[in-house]
Amino acid sequence: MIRPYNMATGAAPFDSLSVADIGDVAINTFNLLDAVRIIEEAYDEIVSQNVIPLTLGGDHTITLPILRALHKKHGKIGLVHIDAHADVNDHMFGEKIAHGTTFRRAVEEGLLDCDRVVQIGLRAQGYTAEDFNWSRKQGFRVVQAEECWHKSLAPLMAEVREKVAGGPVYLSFDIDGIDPAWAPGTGTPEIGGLTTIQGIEIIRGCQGLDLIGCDLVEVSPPYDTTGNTSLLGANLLYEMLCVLPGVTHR
Amino acid sequence: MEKIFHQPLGGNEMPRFAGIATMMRLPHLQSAAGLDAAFVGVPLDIGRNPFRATGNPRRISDDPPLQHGHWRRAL
Repeated sequence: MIRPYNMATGAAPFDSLSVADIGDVAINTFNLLDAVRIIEEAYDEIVSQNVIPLTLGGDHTITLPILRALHKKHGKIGLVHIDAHADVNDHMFGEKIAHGTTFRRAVEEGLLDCDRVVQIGLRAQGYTAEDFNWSRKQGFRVVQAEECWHKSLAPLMAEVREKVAGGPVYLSFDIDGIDPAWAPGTGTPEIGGLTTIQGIEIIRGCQGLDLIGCDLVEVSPPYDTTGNTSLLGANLLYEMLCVLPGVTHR
Repeated sequence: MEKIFHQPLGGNEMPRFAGIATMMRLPHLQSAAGLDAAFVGVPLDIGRNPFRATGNPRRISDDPPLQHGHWRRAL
């Protein structure tokens, strides 16, 4: 259910911003690279209208063309990235564009302001320590899930705001950052994840940043047998809407 | 262009299980023109392993547990 006023934060997004649903991007489901091109073009158009996109994914591949479009307007972008995985693989099965290579490509293409990037919730097994250290070597702050266990993330978000402030910021939320107890409807679930409460704290902690776009990716309806993952995803997008620049709090 | 503050369709205007399936029961527009922010679906799931296909904003509508219709209609 959706009601317009945020009882916790006092945000009244629909009285502050003109918001609507502009439907789906008509991707080419038979050609990934062409789909990525189509997404970039669609976001070029959205960005040209000075509209902040709040995206319902889709797998995490989609964030690359979105960042490409935003970069053309805003220049280098800071990033708050919630995920169980760093998504900085050089390739997947030899392919440079895939849902696990997004942020390596974004760095290589100069889209990100690497000193203003934070990845939160990373965990589980990798191939080597390099899987997360590559991010650290770029200047990212990496907050592994274990650093989040058993506590409020409000203090962490004060640090995050300090690191990513000073320019445009994109918020990319992979639903698998949340523990599969709450978000089982996803393709690569990992145990020991963030709680839904921590997810809300992260998003609310982004208030005051110059957010230029947000996404919620990797919800898998066929695996979301109860609908709870979708419910969570939609509520997290509502929280993102509530922290956009220009939203009145009353 | 005068700014229009679109509101979610309330439960007293249309039953919560009914109406057009949009994100947060906001109007569906063909263009982003005149908006400050917009919900956009990107139903891409070919950038990952297909055996746990991910990502369609439109949920399967004829499966009883999923009869809300859309993941954008989860609220």
